[in-house]
Amino acid sequence: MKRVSIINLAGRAYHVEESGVTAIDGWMETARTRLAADPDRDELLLDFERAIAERCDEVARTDRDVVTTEAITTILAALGEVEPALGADATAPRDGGWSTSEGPATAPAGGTPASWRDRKLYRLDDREDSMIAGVAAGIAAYLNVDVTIIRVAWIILTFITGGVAIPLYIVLAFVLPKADTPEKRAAAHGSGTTAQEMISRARDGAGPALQSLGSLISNIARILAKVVHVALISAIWILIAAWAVQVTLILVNGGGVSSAFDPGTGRGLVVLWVSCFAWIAFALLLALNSAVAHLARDAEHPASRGRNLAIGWSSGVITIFALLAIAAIPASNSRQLADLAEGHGVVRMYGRDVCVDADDHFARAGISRSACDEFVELD
Amino acid sequence: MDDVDTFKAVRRGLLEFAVLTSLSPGRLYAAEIVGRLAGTPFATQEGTLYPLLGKLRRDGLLDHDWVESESGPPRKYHRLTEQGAQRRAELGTYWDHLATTLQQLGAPS
Repeated sequence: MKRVSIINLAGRAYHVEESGVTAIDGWMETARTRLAADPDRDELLLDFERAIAERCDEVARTDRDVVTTEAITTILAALGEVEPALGADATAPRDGGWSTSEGPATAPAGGTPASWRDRKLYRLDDREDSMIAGVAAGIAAYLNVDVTIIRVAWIILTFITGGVAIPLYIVLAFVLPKADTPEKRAAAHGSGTTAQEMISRARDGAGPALQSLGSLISNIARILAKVVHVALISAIWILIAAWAVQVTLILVNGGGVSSAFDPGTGRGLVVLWVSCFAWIAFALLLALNSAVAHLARDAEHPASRGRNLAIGWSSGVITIFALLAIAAIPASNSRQLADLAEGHGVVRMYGRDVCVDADDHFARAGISRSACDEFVELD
Repeated sequence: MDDVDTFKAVRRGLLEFAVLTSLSPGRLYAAEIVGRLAGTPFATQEGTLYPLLGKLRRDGLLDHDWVESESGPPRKYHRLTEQGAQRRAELGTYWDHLATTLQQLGAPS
């Protein structure tokens, strides 16, 4: 049993098998990328849609109501590869310019499907793509999602952060390179491979498929996973930066979180404590990230999957040690403080054991004062 | 078919000429142009033809009319503009000139 979607091609409805729909999406996406520099891109895409529609009509009329994936593959193969017109307004010809149908298909390098990792983050400052500086369009292309989703996310983010997202946008607008050549625009979309490869990728289910509910839901999950993935990566970098700042402050002038410790606690100990905490957070983020990356289908590559697993396990083991260390360090400090609250205790200050006694505890317990480097008796 | 690859560059440069020529008897829609060129050395597919038609239209050599189809979406019928017909004539003259020149170059002096 194969599922069938009803799709809209040039304003007419067609029954097409789902994997066929995915193939059409993939083909159109390649066409869109290839024609990035063509002034008539949208018009041409509509022309192609009409051409596909017309052939679907023939299939549906002569055969049966549903257009099969095989029929779609034949139709797309007959349309051939989309080649920008020679000299079309500053279009740099790709590997030898436009070729006629008999030309051998350009072989994709390596043959592995382009994942979202192969894309580059650019600003897509096109007339039709961008509203302000093309940052949202660039991110959308990078994540392979609709630009509207990114714009809505920006707006929500602006409200949540109380406006912090606005300067962030400005920073990105300056920092992100502008995709000013067709090659860069292709890299932004991560495509630039052949139509045939695009079709086979689409049939494998890794391409964009937005028409049917099932793939829509899985796409939303994938998009969310990607967004979380990016957020986690940022969090990891922020964590590393915060740790570096703290360690510097502690070592340079006993600042940073040193004030939270007993005066006299060695700087090395504070650094160790901070590092243990940072490591636990780091390991948790890494573990979360590898799980999310798996959800984002990043784990298509077995190598990265193995790497994710290795990171997950090793960070887990080291976390246990860090947890043990962190449990030991504050415990000694807090016991000292607890004892002092009762009226007596031993505090290690500047490398010396200072016994503090306000309730004659040492005398009653028969502890010699010589056990302390210094003895302070309080009334 | 060795000449398929050997003369690709030549055909590539002449495809515009071929398309303009195929439209000289009257208007055609894209699939008809593909059909007319099929089986000739200029055989091409929609993927290549559409962007070229778009460029020729931008250059003012072609124009199109919409015609309703009894089945399927409306069709774009392309036709030569006055400028397009003129360009085709110029290309024809230039082609003859090139052919003559090549013959003369090869003639024993």
